[in-house]
Amino acid sequence: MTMRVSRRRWLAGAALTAATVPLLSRFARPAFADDADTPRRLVVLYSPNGTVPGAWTPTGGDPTGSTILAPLAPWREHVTTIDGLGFGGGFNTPHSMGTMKALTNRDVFDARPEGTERGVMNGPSLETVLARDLGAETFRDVLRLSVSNATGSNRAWLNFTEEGTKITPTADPAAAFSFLFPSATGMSDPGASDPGAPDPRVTGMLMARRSVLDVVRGDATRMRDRLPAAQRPKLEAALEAIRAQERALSDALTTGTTGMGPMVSCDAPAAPGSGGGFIEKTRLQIDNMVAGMACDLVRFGTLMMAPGADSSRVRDFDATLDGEGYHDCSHRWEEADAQEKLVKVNVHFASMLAYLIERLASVPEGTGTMLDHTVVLWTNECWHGNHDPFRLPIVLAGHAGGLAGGRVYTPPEGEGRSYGKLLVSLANAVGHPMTGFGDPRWGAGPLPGLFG
Amino acid sequence: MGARMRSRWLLVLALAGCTGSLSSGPMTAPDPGPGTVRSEPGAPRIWRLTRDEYDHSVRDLLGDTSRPASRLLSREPAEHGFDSHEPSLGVWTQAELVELERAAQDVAARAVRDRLAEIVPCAAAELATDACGRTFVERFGRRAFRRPLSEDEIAAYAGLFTSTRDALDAQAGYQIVIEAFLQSPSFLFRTELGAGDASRRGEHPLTPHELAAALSYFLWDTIPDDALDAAADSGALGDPAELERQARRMLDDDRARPALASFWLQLLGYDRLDAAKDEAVYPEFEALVPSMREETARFVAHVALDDAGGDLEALLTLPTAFVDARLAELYGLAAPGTSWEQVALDPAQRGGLLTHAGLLAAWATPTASSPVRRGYFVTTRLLCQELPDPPEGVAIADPPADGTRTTRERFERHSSDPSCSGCHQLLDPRGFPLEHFDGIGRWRDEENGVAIDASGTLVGTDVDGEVEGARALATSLAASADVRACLVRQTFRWAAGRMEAEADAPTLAEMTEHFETNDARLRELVLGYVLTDAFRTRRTQ
Repeated sequence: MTMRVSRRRWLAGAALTAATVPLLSRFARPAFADDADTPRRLVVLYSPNGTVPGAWTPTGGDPTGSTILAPLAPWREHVTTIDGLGFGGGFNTPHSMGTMKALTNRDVFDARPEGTERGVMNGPSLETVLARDLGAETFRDVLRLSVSNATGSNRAWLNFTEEGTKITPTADPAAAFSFLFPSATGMSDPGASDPGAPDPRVTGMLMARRSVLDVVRGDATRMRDRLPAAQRPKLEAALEAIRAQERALSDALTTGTTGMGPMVSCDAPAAPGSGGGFIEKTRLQIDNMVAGMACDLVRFGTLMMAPGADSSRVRDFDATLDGEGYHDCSHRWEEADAQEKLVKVNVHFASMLAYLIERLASVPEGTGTMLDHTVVLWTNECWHGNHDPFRLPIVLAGHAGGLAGGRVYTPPEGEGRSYGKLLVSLANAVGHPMTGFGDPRWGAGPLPGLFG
Repeated sequence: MGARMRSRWLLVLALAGCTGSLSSGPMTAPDPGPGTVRSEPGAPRIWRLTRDEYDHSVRDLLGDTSRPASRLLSREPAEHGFDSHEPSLGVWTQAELVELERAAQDVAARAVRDRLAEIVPCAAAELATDACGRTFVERFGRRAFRRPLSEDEIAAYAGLFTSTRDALDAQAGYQIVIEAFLQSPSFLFRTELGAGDASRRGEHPLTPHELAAALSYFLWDTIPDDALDAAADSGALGDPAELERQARRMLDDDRARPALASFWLQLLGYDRLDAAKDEAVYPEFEALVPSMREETARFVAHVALDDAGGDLEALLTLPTAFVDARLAELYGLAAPGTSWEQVALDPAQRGGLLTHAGLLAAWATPTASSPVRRGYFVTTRLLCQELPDPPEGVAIADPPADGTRTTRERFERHSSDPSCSGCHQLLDPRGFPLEHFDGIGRWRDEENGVAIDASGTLVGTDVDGEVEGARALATSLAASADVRACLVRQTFRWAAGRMEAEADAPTLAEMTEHFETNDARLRELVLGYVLTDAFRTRRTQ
């Protein structure tokens, strides 16, 4: 697989400011020659507990033509709504079963008779495969985010390694920011001086930290070599992460010529704080996602806005739900007073998608904007709060891979309604040639006529 | 899997409607065996520290009480009810590495800024010398890695100190060394690999240093203290008698209290207190949550560890509470003179764990009490019985409060609708005895003008019978061998960091026997695991 933009091009720009604090505040971003040269990205937004079917279903062929989808109306031409896809396998009981399927298209084992845990996954989620096959050329291979560390259902995981082990997304916007935009000196460093002032101490700490990683890598290698085979993947993963971090620091220390052609500058946003409510944090995570992609530091990202069966005490939601837990409320989805609240929650999630679209459309790229080279999936584990996984409220946005926008797509009957085909289509849209993903019993190939 | 277990499981799976008895989960009661059954060691493994363990470790290493891991690291996947889930504690993505790096930098920067003189083993004038740096590396590394460092390791870390000192200054040198130690897998992972010659059964004993770390993270959630380190260094810890002596000593130490409380709070489902309550119904709830957690933490530590150590009956029935002003008001007691006070309760109303406000609130809905959730708690957490999922497509929603009926009346549909009644005729009557307590654990004599009926039934247990009210329920459960066996099993899950498997039956049998012969005293639950071969050895690969 050939990549059009190399990591070298990124770091050539990053090096321009190697001796300032914070170190990587300005990233050079390649000026893409034309649209064909431009990287393609995938962003997944996930919200749980189903929608309100009557208020979600678009009417009149308008992909934004419903109460819940109304916040997307200004972006109608960029939105594709899909009505009629469902998960393979059985019912989502509990919710987490569906959360775990949403990016894996695999059944969740119920392995209790063998004495292991309930809810075991045996393969990767989509962004892990994209990161593996396409992610090596950017600074970070993938960005996995969430909004809260609080538990909804403890088993509601979206992201999985190659082997199916759960991956915890980064919940803290400040942590996600430093993942994308590492600073030279770290947080609360007493040696840090005024931003902007050249400081030899910064370079000194940076070099010391490279040596730290060197020592840590030595420890990890020694420990790995003592381990039985079954335990080695734990330290292989650690070593891989350490090497990536070493590259990041070395890149930051590298000064010199670029020779890579014209660059446009890419300002890293100010580091976010860790406070703020649920809505503010969701926005900050979207900002992180867009900033990372605008600087071409990462191309694939997921954001779990809340986990399946979420009932965490979220202040901004409490007002919307009168203090009722979101999950509890969603189970009353047929009652009028619950529907009123659930519509508000889902309008909130739709407005977060609208915010993401707006941010993507604000970054000029090639002859258009970044939205032209991005595809966004907004997905859910249920149709309504009572676990129905056979019809899902799906919205796409953007145009990567030739997605037209401005329409409601109805998948063909039968196997064509398999959700897994959508994941294949999305992977193809960002340049991954896969022909199937997840459980082959649930259908292979992309959705016909969705892209291009 | 043995034929007996398999057939039992097929039976359970067939019982989709719960029409018979409930299964007791993955493990059946172990066979008594021919007297030579010994516990089976687990596989060798490494095990990353939980956030609690990380926080307590840096507290004891550097005096840092800011809980950096809880602030800066993502939560653990708590698969089996506890944060200590070894199979999940190992993934180390780039994003997690960045989090760990931030935490290490945060701790190290604070340490050298605020406490350099205390943590460095020499006078201020000697601070910048190679000798001081090396001594720091040896001493700090010994505690952080829970074992002496190899010469290679000392050279690597001492080199880090000198090069950073030369480039910057001594303070930066210590800062960088601390950062490195806290990012090393030898700090972040507990190793349980074993060493030496395998026994005839194919087992390796853990090294004395691995044993010391296993013991201290199990009993204290933190690194070993000097006495335990010394027992590891001398090799004495390899002697089971010394291991037991150390374990008993550690349980008498205050550090055992938060670790034990953490186990119980997780077992009791106190993470559920993070879920919202309806502010219109329970405006005082949010402010009460920290007090609810604290009460139960104090109570379980008191029962399990104070004096001679209490038993299961004390845990479930003792009419003693630890209250602050908020809880005193909720419980209808006089406000305490100090912030927390131990008070006597009227046993006719309240006593023991089942009547703690936190437990009653955790297993309730946002607007009301819930016999189903409380019955589910008793069933899954105290009896270790597994329930089949509700039938597909059934509306899983609590019947709405309508201001006229009692909670009990609202839930009666469960026993009239045949698709629900199979399970709920077992489940709900286990929760009805707690109906005198509302959705945040406040006592009530009536609901919507109707007198509370707190009569319930235990069916499908070894203590079946009618139970009227919380005290009767607690007394029955306190006499249950099923509950005792379940607590053993939960202790195993927490300590071993995984669900039990068939091969663990002898271990559970050994632990159960220890618990039973020690009169169900709670501290013996923990000791029972330490004394098994499964704790001390690992299988040869």
